[in-house]
Amino acid sequence: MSAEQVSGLSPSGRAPLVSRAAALLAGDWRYVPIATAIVLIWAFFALQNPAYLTPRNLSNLCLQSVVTGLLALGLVPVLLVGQIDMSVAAMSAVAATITGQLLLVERVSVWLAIAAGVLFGGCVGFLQARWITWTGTPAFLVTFGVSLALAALQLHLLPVTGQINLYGTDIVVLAGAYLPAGLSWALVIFAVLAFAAFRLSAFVESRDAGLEASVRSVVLPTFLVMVGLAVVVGALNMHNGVPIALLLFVVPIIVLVYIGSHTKFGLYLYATGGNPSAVARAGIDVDRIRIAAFVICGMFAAFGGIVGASRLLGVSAQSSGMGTLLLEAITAAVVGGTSLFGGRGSPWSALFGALAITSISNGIDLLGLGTEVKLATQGLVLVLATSVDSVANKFANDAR
Amino acid sequence: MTRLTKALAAAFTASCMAAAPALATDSDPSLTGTVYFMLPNFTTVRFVQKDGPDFVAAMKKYAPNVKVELVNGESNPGEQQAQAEAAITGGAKAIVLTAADPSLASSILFAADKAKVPLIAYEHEASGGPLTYYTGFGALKAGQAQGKNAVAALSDGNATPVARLYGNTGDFWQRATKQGQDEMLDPLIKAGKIKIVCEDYVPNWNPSEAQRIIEQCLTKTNGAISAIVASNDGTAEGALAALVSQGLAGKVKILGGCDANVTTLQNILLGLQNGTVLKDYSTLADDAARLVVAALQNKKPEDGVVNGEFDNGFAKVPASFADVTMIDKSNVGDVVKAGVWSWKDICAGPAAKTPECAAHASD
Repeated sequence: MSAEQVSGLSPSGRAPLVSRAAALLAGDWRYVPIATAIVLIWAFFALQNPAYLTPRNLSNLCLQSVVTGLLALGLVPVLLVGQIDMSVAAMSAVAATITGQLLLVERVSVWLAIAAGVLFGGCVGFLQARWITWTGTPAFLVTFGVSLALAALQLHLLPVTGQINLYGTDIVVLAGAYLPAGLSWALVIFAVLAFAAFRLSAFVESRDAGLEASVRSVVLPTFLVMVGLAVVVGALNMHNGVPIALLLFVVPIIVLVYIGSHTKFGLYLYATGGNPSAVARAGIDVDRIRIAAFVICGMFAAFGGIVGASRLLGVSAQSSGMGTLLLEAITAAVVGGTSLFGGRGSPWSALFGALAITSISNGIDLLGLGTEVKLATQGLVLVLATSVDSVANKFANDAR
Repeated sequence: MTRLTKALAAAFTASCMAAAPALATDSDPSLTGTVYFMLPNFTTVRFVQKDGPDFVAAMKKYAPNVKVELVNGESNPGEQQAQAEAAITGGAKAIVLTAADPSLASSILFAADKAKVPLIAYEHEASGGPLTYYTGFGALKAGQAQGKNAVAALSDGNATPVARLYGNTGDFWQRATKQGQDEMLDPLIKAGKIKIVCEDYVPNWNPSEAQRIIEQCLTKTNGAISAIVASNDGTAEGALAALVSQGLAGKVKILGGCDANVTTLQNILLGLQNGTVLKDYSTLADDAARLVVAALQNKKPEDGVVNGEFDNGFAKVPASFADVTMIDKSNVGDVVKAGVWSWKDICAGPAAKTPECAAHASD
């Protein structure tokens, strides 16, 4: 059962305030908490060091969020169907290695090399999911085991030097190039018009169906989107411009949001996580939906790794997929509002979540607070975000 | 004996002596059994690619009938402890240990000591327990070399803004390299010739973290830094990535460095990084083999092998510190001579077009 459906229920008189707030937070207001959190984080760090809110740092922030964000974006469909994929960080490293080796050793074209890496991610995602659905082994364990195997595969694939140097190759464009200012403004205008048209058609549909609808539902969001985009693009253009990498992150989000809200597959995706047995009774092959989610996840993890390699100008066992990347990706998806319990969330949560946690690490690095603070904060944010999710899940269940 | 043969014999002896290394541990075929070389992980490529094979070769030279087993702790101190226990149970004559986690090795040290198996700590500090010997490149020396490299590039500055990248908080290499760098840099800082505008520790020496730290340093200073002093090559490469994405590559100097990574050597040839500290792994493996042989023979190592003391927090241990070499554009060939990498390894990608690589295109 999706969040929207849950919000429609009203428990008989008990704790109406809580349930009304929960309904709002599950519906139109669902991005309010995370947006508030981001504003508070920004205000906190800007007070510590004014350089935090400069165009240069906004540009950094965008580039620093993209890799974590792409991994989180892949995790969203998997979380929606109530599963988890612990192999995303290792997958990102192997895909980057495959793409790098194809590019440098086999000398294939950059697009082919990227496609091969992403395809590999999709294939591994498929195999993992097929195994999980066939044997019924918890996804947590299968994907964790696979992540170790992937780490081994990366060591096998790396050259004897242990490193792939991508400096001066075509692939650095992914994370190292920026849109010309004119083009970025043209895209803003296009995006605002498309958004307005989208809201308008939704409004017309509701009205024709005899539902309560007001023009305000078109004008106000469009205005907010316009102002938001203008501020962000204007600021980025004051530095180097809009990073191509940001588009490589945001465009897939929009595509996935569309799939989630306007296709049968999207409906099944949400439904599978919410109530799998009901979905199965309706004659839908739940396993196929789950497998599709893992395939999408593998592909985005792979693509994230490739963008990360482009950003770091290289691949090595030490730098790629290591450290806290896996936890950051999961945290980002959950902080952004995608539930670990399935059925609730949105691809936008990857953007907001990645932005929120990157804003924190960005600020900690700016202030030079050191590793202890970084680790402690990352850990606490994960605990806090998952706890909020769990409590929200409890309320949703109680409401049922 | 004719005068001719006498002369020949003399010449032969002389040439032998000239050719012989300064320290000659004779081959001792009477030594038998198994020696274990416990590597720390697969991620630091040098241990598997260089140190392991070099040590096997050195042992073959000095103790041809001793078998060498290489085991890898896979970055997991628990796993490594189990491997050490297995080695001791299996009758190890000696253990050469590169700790997966230097601060969590003491249980291995005590286990080996209890079983009277000589234990030589190799490169990574192994703290909090009894050790027979320690051998390593001396992170202090590496740090001093990095500091000297930075001083040479910055000594005629005036409040030149500099960023410093340290290693992983709290590990032995980080502390010692920083100490070595400080010895060289502090006078410049006191004289006001350089100003440290950013400094931070890089978790696990991870290049991606280093990249973000330098990006944030550029934010903090609005792009106004003149040089970055990095404590190893991985972090220097991360720093370079930060500079490239902001169009500052080649404009901000990258100083320090350590490990002679291939990517870094390519960056040096391209003028993007100033230099790096070379550790000739075969020297270290050779030292370790000599110490193992001395321990197996129950004798003192020959003069000159032990050249210092290493305090691992439990005792002061006789130590053999190997020398490091500063590599820059002019002597990249030394890396090839040391057998670390070939010109073919180094001359790939954009670096292949540099004059240094053109000169060795046929190598």
